Amino acid sequence: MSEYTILLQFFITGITIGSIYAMVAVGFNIIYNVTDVINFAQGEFVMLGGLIMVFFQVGVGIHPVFAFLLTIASVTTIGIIVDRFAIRPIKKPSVLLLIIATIACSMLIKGIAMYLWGKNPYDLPAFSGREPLIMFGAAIQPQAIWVIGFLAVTVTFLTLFFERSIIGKAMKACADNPAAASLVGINVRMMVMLSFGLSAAIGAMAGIGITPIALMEYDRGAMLAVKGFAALILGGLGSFPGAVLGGLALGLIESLGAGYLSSGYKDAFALIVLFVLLLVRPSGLLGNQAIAKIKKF
Amino acid sequence: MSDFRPWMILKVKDVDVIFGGLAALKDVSFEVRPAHIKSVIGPNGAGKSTLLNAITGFINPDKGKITFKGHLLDNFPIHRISQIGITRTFQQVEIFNKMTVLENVLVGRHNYTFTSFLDCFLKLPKMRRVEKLIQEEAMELLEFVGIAEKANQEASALPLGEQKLVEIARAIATQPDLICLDEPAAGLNESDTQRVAEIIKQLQYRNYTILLIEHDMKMVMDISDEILVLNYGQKIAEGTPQEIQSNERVIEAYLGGTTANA
Amino acid sequence: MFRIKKRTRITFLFLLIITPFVLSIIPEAEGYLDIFIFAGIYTLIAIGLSLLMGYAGQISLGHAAFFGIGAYVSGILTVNYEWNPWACMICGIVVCIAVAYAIGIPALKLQGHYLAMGTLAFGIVVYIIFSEEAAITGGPDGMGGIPGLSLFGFEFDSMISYYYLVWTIVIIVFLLSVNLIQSKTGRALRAIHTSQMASSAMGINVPVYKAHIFVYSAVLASVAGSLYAHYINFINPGSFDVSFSILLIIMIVVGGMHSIWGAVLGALLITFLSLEWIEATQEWLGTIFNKDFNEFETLTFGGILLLTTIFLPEGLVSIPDQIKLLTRKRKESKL
Repeated sequence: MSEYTILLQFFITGITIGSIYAMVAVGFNIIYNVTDVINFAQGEFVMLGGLIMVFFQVGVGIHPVFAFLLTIASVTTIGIIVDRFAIRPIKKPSVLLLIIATIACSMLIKGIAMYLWGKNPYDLPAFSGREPLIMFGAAIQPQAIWVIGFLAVTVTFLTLFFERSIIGKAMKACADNPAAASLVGINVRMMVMLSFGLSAAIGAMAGIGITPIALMEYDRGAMLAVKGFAALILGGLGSFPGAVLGGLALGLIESLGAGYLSSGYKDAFALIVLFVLLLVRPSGLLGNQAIAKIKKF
Repeated sequence: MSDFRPWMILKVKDVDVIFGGLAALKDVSFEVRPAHIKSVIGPNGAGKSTLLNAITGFINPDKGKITFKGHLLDNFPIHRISQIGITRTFQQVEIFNKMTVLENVLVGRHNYTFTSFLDCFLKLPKMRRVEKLIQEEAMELLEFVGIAEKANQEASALPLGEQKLVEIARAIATQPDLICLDEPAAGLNESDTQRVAEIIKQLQYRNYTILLIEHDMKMVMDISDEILVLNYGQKIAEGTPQEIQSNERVIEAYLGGTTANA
Repeated sequence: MFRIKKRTRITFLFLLIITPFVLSIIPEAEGYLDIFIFAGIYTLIAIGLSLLMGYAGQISLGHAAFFGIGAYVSGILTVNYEWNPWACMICGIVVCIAVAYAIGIPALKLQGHYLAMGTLAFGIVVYIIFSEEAAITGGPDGMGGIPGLSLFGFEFDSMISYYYLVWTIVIIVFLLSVNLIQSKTGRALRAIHTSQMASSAMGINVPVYKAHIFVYSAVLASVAGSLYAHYINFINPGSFDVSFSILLIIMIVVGGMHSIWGAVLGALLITFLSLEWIEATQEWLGTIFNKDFNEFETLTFGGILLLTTIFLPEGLVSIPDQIKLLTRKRKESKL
């Protein structure tokens, strides 16, 4: 293989995994936008998407399309449960407490997953087979196209949702000013719940998409969450295009780093990027710099 | 041409503060004499708090100079501002809720609590001596503002008026030359406001310089030596209370006269 | 909540001293001494973390890294270079101070979620380094042969002697930390926790203070790490991963974030839960779950953490206060 095909290969891998990170980042963003909470359990939604899909499609034998819908529905419900039973009951929500609560949720979900599925990785049949497509000498898994497609669908749907639909606009209003939003009659609690549900659904989609490529096991959640957050910060906390851009960029950094520098430190690349970003430019690539005017502590 | 004028303790010159394209402050210039009470008034959103934040180091102006006692305040970190001699109170009272009233004032004494890490860590006799000293100092300040009897109560348990007094005592504890008060009378009734006004006058008597942001016009007119009027981020008038009361631009800005109260 | 009663202190000290003797009398309780030693080691970290989280209000999801650095520095230097273990402990402290300042000063400028993620990322990177640099650290399989500790010829090779060693250090650190809390430093930290704005305005150099307390907590974790290494004589990266960092958080939260006693109580309780649980399930389940019990712990601790956050956010130490509050409310509603 020529150098260019190797590069192209890494590029494609990067975009593929980047799409997953982008979807996690988008999920983070939705909840953050409405509640100012970073949901540490976001990665678990991805994990659940993959494993529950395995259950329905492989375990029970339901047709993939129905399994898909059932999985999304299940994970969405779980997302709503997280909001209802872990976030809302907290009486004096401080940032610290909320962080801890979402961490606790992620632990609970992970623990239950281990109990139900064990520690082994699971596989899903690829949606359209495993025959690689050859483009410019590089082999592309059709599943990768599906994943990138999922991202595209997510982005399109969300853009339309937040710009055009009433519920979407209501959610945005909550993000800007929950007090004002409730005064205008918006049920803020409902919006929060919706945001959790929506994030869970997107996460689940990502999980279903990636499992045929990278398998899925019970403890994948934490790493995905951290990397998804890194992607979000890279792109700019609070920004949708930022989340997508950040995710793809992070995927590329990781893929190229693992390919050209060191595969053992693969996970570290994303983390180091996150760390450096937080210190140097927490507003990210597309974030809001005006906030930085007033001295941060 | 130099603008040395060392007899002015605070000099603000051509200050701009811009937030995302909008000018919160534009070309603001004024000076404050030592031991004067200078009030800053203006309708809501005029930029008074922004001005205060710029002087106390919370915001860095985009243009202009702020000079205090001859020092150019050039993007100093906030704690440095305190060490130079400027202190402040906050519009939303920022007392330390879970600490006692006395402890709040002791925090104000922070830079004058001369114990080293080792002294504290090992609880050496020096630390005990210093702690005793600053407690006495803090009690004096609490007596000055008139809430000494509540020294050991949790700060959050006090009514708003007294919380503001705690903030003032704490600010004085930092041994400032300039005290910036951000709407000290906000949310207070007549008698509490009177109390605050009295304290401010007492402070002036003891040679402190006061920069006062206020909406309570009666208090402002009563105690100020000079008043600065802002509107839409710009200075529209500066002068004695009498001059300001009869200034047409000021009356216009407030839409209805200078007797308006917050 | 910040008052530490003298009587409580003395009672606790008394109980600590007699524990080994009580345990040696009860035949099945031999293994408990082992757990107490771990509890002591973890209490050391917990005290530091409690000051950082409870008093200064900063969060660290990566403290296992400092624990690990202390352990690995001690391990590597004693095994490969045959240094004196105490010198190694000091070396570990120095390394942790350097790392803590390097990470802390920039990281602590972050707030809330950023800080949490930043420290989480830091912890994971250090863990990856432990696993990857096999030449130095022995990689995922760990390194063994770490010698025990001795002082002036006396070897701490029995459980009882190590128990007293660890808990003596804990008590000293506890008392010194209490001094810190009751001093200017403690006030500054509590002020920073409530309002960084006001603290700054009063002349407190907030970033420096936060960094200092972060370093202090890192140093305690490092000492704990060294003690850990010299106790079990074998270390591997698995002990210093994210799960452990979170376990530390659980100790603090369950015990009570805003009280140094909370740290002690939390550490004792969670250590017992963790190590006892492993034993119990190991016997019960036999060969199904062979090595790694972390995930059963995950489920249980996740649940405990969530319940604590919702129903008892101030931790177990706040129970007396809560009871007072409830009885007062009941009285008032009767009037």
